[in-house]
Amino acid sequence: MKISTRQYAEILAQVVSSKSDSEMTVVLDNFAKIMMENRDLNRLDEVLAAFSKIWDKANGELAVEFIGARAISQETKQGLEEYLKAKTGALKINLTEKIDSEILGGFVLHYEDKVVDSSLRQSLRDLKDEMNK
Amino acid sequence: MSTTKDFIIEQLKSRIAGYQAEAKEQTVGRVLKVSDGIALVSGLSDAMMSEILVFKAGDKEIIGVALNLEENLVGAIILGEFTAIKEGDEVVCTKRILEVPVGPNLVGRVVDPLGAPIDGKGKIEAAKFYPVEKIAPGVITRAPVKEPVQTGIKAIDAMIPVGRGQRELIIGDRQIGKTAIAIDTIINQKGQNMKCIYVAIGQKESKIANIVAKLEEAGAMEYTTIVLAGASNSASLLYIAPYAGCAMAEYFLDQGEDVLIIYDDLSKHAVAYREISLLLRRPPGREAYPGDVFYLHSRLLERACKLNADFGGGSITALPIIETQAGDVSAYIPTNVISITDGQIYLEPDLFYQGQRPSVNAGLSVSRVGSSAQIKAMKKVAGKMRLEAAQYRELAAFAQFGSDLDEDTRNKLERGKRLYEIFKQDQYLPVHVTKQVLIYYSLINGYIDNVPVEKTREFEEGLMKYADLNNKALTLIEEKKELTEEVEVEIKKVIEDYKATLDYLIK
Repeated sequence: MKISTRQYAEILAQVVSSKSDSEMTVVLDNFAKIMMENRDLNRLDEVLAAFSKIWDKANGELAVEFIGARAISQETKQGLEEYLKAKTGALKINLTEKIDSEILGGFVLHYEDKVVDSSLRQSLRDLKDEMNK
Repeated sequence: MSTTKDFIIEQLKSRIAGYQAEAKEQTVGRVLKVSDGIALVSGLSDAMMSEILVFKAGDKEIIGVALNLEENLVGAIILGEFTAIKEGDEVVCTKRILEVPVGPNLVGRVVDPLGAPIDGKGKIEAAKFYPVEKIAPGVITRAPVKEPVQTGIKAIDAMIPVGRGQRELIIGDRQIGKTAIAIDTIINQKGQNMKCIYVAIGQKESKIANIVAKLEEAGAMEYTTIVLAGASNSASLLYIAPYAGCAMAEYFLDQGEDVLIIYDDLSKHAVAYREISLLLRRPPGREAYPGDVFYLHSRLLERACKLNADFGGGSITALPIIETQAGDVSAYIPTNVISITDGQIYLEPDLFYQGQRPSVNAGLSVSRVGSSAQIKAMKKVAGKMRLEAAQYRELAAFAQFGSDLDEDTRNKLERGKRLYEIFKQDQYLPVHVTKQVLIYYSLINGYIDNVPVEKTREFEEGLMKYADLNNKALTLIEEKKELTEEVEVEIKKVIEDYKATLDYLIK
């Protein structure tokens, strides 16, 4: 029977939970071996992406991509994390930062399948739409 | 000069004042796959069924509708130009169910299924937006169908009466006058307090241009809206067209008005839905139609209704059209729609090629609402018309074998021949119900028996013209709506007076 990507990810999440570091190496070795035997290693990237989602969900972690026009201070970052925690109920926020001067100012947040666009570029677009009405 | 400048500045200021910067949280997804008007989108965890999705293809925004909600995927139909959409494009939820503009400003216009004008007469200010999909009115809100829709077609008004709030199917092969019946009905609604909506599904645009020109000529565009999803539009637009047309009709229904809606035709609608379903990988069934093709049409036609006085008393009368292949009414879609509707008008190729137009088959056509949707006068003269017409056809076929017929049969045959002559009617020339009563009255009371068969149409035309000149009889029928003695005397007088002027009667 073919094992789906999702099934692999779920199995992986189950076997690695509450294992010590030494056990972990064995478990991971075995997992890789099984994937190899099933000739499914080409799907490893997909499995890892799905695993990451399952892991985050189980542990209350939330991967957030922050796009800003400039780098942000530690303080702002903290505030942002508090805000996201309150909003989504996540316990831990994994913030990745990206600088993109194309958005002109403000910031854009990506998490799960949500986007909060508070950039100057979007504001100008909205203004343009408003004036075209 | 300065006033215009001030004006511009003021305008600009007020526009900018109206704008408020805000950061909204949006649910987005990415296009995984796009093909033939269908897109598979990842993400969009909050998407609702038949929610409007916006595809951001470059700087263009294209509208789509969510149709399949799966665990990690949304299957959507794209309404519009789908060639610009690429894999990886962003898709945004709008939290709005698909809706169309409705209101009195749509009357007299030609619009696409999304309510955008395509007649070049400028923008339409919509009164409201109505959802395209809506659950039909329930039992409590409805009333029995009693008032007639005058189609102006003699054969139909006499034999297969259509009531306000009824669903009457028009079925027949291609090129046999299905649309002609629908258009004549629209033309005859002038002054009948009826709004009309003609939904063209997969029709040739040239044909629609012709129809619009004809309706304009007859002054019928004053109360008609045309919803056009042409043959060159994508299957998604064809699929939503009848629902959009129905939503536009529901606005008038809610105002307590009567609406006539024509779906031309539902066979193409089913084919468009089959295309979408197969592309969305829903399992095919009989004739490759998906399992819910019955629901596709039943939920549409169930929205036709007559509401009771507590709910405004409006009505939607639906005339769906189905095109059969080589007269096969037992194919999948025709049988479905026949079972949903309250009767059908069956157009027969044999009759059509014999020159009997409209080629209504009296035996196979029925109206399940029946004579309660006729005015009393019509009920009286046309009571057994359908049976007689059907019997005549049988008798005529039988009589071909022998010439030795008894008097009674011969009389029946002669009467039948004249009846079928009266059923003949030219296109775009609907006949007012009072005139129909007049001609049927003269037939059943034997006034036409001594008119030669080939002169029957001439006689009819002359009688109507004559009655127009001395229109006391017609106005009386119109007023009383039934055949009292007083009315009958007047009718007899008109017919006898007219016959006295003729020279071709059989002695």
